[in-house]
Amino acid sequence: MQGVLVFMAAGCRLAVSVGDVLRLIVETPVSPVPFGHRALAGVMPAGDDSGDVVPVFDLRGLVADAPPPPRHVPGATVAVIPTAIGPIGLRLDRLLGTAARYDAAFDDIPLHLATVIDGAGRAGGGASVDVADHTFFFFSTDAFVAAVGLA
Amino acid sequence: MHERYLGADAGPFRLALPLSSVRQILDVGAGDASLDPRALGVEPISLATLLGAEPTSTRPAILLFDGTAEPVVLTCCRLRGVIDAPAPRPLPRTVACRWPGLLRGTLDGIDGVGGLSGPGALGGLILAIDARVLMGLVEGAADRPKRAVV
Repeated sequence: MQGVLVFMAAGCRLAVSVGDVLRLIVETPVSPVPFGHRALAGVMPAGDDSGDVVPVFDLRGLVADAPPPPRHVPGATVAVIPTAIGPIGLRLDRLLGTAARYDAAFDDIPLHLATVIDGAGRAGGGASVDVADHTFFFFSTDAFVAAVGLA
Repeated sequence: MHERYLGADAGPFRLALPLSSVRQILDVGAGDASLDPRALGVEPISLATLLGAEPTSTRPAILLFDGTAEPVVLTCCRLRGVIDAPAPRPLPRTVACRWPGLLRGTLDGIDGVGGLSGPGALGGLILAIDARVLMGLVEGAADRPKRAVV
């Protein structure tokens, strides 16, 4: 079992496999993109030596009836995650920590992010303080790519 | 090989317009003099509004373009000067937007002109626009009911 990175985004405790995160970067000024998806804050440097850029998404943009997410959150943590068609940057409200081991959980999925969640887990021992003994939901990159119309 | 662009802000967008597509700068904007669209002969179109955002200037710059069928007058919120830069770096396919062809990519290695000293100088990356796609959007907008022009 591979460990998970646990974070808060759009008010939910979410997790991705540690191996699925290319890097964590600090959000620098984001350039908004004309006609971008509501969840797309903009683009910023990818944080490596390649000079590539990465789109920064805010999951609050997937929540119907919620105000649009801010274009730029200075200093926010952005997780760069690969997908089948390229990397995405996911803006985190807060990075909570990691869990090396976890069990499946069967809590109700938060409806406002149901389209991008693929199951739940509950961290046991060996997890960060803010992660242990809490339920989290697995963020599905494939589902996210479909949700923003990229699939 | 470097290309030349006109740096311009349109609402929240930091853009680079191919210099070859800009026939004339009719007004550099700013200042206190009020703008009278009748003096232009052609009703200007707000670039910010065209791109789906609110303009951020009450005294925009005015640019004349060669449209596909007739000259097009666009307003932009602020001119940033001429940018000399290598070919744009294409955006990744994960940039979820409705008109991906509108954006040729981001500019790197910008030589400092008109207050530009690098990609971060405008508070973010600069997006290079495909002028032909932009003119297509103008034509599409012309088919819709008119909105505020500046």
